[in-house]
Amino acid sequence: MRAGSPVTPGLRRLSAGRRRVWAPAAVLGVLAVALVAAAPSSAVRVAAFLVAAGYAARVLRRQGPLAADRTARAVLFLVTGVGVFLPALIGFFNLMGHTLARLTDPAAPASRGDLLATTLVAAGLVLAARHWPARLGEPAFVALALVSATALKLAYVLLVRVEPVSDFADMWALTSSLAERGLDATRGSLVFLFHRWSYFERVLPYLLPLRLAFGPRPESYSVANVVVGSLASLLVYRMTRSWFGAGAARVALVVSLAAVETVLAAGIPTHDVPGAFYTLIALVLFLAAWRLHSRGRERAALLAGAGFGLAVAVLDLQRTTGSVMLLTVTLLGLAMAAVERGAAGPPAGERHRRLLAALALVFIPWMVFGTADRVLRAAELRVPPALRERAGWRGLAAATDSWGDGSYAYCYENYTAPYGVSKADWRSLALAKLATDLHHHPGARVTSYLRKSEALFDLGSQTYFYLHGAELRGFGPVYREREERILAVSRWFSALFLGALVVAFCRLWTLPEVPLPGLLPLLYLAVFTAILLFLAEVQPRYLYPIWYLGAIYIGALFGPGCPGSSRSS
Amino acid sequence: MYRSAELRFVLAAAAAAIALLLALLAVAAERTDLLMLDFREWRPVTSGLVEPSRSHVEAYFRNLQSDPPDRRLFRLTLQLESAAGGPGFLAAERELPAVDGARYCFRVLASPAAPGAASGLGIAVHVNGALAWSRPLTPPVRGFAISVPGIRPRRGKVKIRLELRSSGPQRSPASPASPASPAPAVHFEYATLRRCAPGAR
Repeated sequence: MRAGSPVTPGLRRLSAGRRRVWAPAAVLGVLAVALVAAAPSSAVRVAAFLVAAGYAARVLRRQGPLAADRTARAVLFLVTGVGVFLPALIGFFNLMGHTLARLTDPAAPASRGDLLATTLVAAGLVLAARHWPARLGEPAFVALALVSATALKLAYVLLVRVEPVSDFADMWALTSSLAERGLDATRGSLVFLFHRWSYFERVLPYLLPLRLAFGPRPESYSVANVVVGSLASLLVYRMTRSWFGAGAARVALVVSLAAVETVLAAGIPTHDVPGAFYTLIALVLFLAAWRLHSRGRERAALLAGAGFGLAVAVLDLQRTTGSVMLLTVTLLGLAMAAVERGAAGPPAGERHRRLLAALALVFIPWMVFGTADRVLRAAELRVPPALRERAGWRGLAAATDSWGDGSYAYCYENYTAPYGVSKADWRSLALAKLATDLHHHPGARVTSYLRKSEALFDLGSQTYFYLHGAELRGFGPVYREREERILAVSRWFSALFLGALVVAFCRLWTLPEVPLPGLLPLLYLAVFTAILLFLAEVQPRYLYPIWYLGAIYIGALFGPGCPGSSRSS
Repeated sequence: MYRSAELRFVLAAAAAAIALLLALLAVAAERTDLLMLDFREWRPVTSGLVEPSRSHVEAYFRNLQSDPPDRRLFRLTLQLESAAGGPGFLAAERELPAVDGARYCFRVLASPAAPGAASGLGIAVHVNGALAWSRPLTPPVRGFAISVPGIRPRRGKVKIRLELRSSGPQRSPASPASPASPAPAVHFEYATLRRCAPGAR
């Protein structure tokens, strides 16, 4: 890294070469405006694609993270750009357009004041975090942020009573059944029904222990949701600080704490909140394994690797994303093991160190995960393999239509409703669809990816899950106007969040150096998102971890410290 | 901390592997019978109790397949006209290339276009001119999979015909269907004709 180099280059006078760019830019601008007027939805995707392509071309000519190697930078940029940047950009345009359109609708209850207040509060929190006086110390800031956010969220879940709906109601009912009647008495209701089995898996590592410990009251899960959310933000703070400095970490902390959806989601028996927490725990343990290995503490690294494998097993129970996590870290772990060379610690041969790195980062986690999975299956605590396989192929067949938008409504209308549990050869069908797309019109996969991005990144739009039958104690039900206003605020915050994430992504690639582990959360998010967009049904709720993983990079954007400044974890 | 040359190799190899996998899939799809059947090539057939003109049936058939346009490739909709004068049954057929001596399995998903729209209907699948599969649709009808194994090609072709017919009395100008009742229709989707797996008949 170049000492003393400016983090953000200052504005410069336009050169003659750049002035020549104005003419075609103006033509493109006119075309863009015409496209927006004629076909707003297509315009969003085309605009996002053009911006992304232009930016990609620019960034690949520039020095940035892994500055010494253009190919490595290009591949990492491609994966994270396709997985995060492009869909987030589409989501940002979509949310901005949607929210601003509502402002011009006189019948819409959301007002400019709501959005202005949201913007000011968000900006105020970020500025306060960024300019926190050093003399007051980091612990004071962390304590203040965590305590105040936790207290406010507790006040919310205690004051607003919410009626669980959909999957959440079923999961809580199953939890109660398990707590009251026991496993054997309840198991009969699980047979042959994949969704019942998946509920069963989800409640085991979170809702069931809470129900057993604290009883049937809604506070059993809502208070825990608040606490777990705050702990997740604390993990975000620690990770961000190790890579991007204290200022960035403070911003990441307040952004993740203030995300509107993290407030609303705390009120229901959800699996998203613990899912995000276990995701962060797994990332922290993997990074700990890498850090310990780098310092030559091999035994501790192996232990951390084993802990990571166990965390992934829990994550797989909670959110069925353990395999995605393992896939991501295996790729990065193998890359790390391949490129690793001497570091501090006891002297050892380079080959020996590489072997140990592969053991701690890849093989031990896989072994522990596999063993835990086998034990759980032997105890009949996991979905039977045949049922999982059939449901998996059926889900793939339903969601992989390149002409569909991947939404739950589309899948329900075209598959769940007409075919139910029909014993079609879903595996054959799914493979045939993929092959037919690739053969006849591979471009359809690309347009499908972009189209599904709008649905997946329509963040903040699922307030109906969080406010169903909601009642503000003493002030009456939360519906119609109040719910509309909350929805508008939630979507506007989401637009700001995605906008900041897009800018943060751009900023990341302008930095002289970013430690490779610092790219792991982004890489995980990219792989996870890309798999959803290519192959799966998409709901904005599936991206719940983005409120934490995205906050890391938004922190890097606003943090005063120069990222990668001689730190490496 | 990192060796850029080796990292470049690992990352480039991963990207190349993904590209190679996609290319192999595309080539394999072209050279095998993995692809779904393209319903745009199918031709309408009608006869029976009411015999409209050929052009009428062609136009009617094409109009059915136009919504939504992007799915026309994989979805075939057969709908009996609710107004008087329409066909008593409607079918679509296609001769598909095949290898003599091999045995093929035909699969397709079928579902009523709307709840209640299948009342009094029957579906049949003819292979090479012979009835291979049939089923009356009695409410409540949900979607189901049709599988016809053990098909033997004739002179390098397999002729498949999907048929929707009314099993009730024929509608006539004197007794038109109620405007409120949905037109009886069935979607056929995601059809494949491929060599049977070992063990299939």
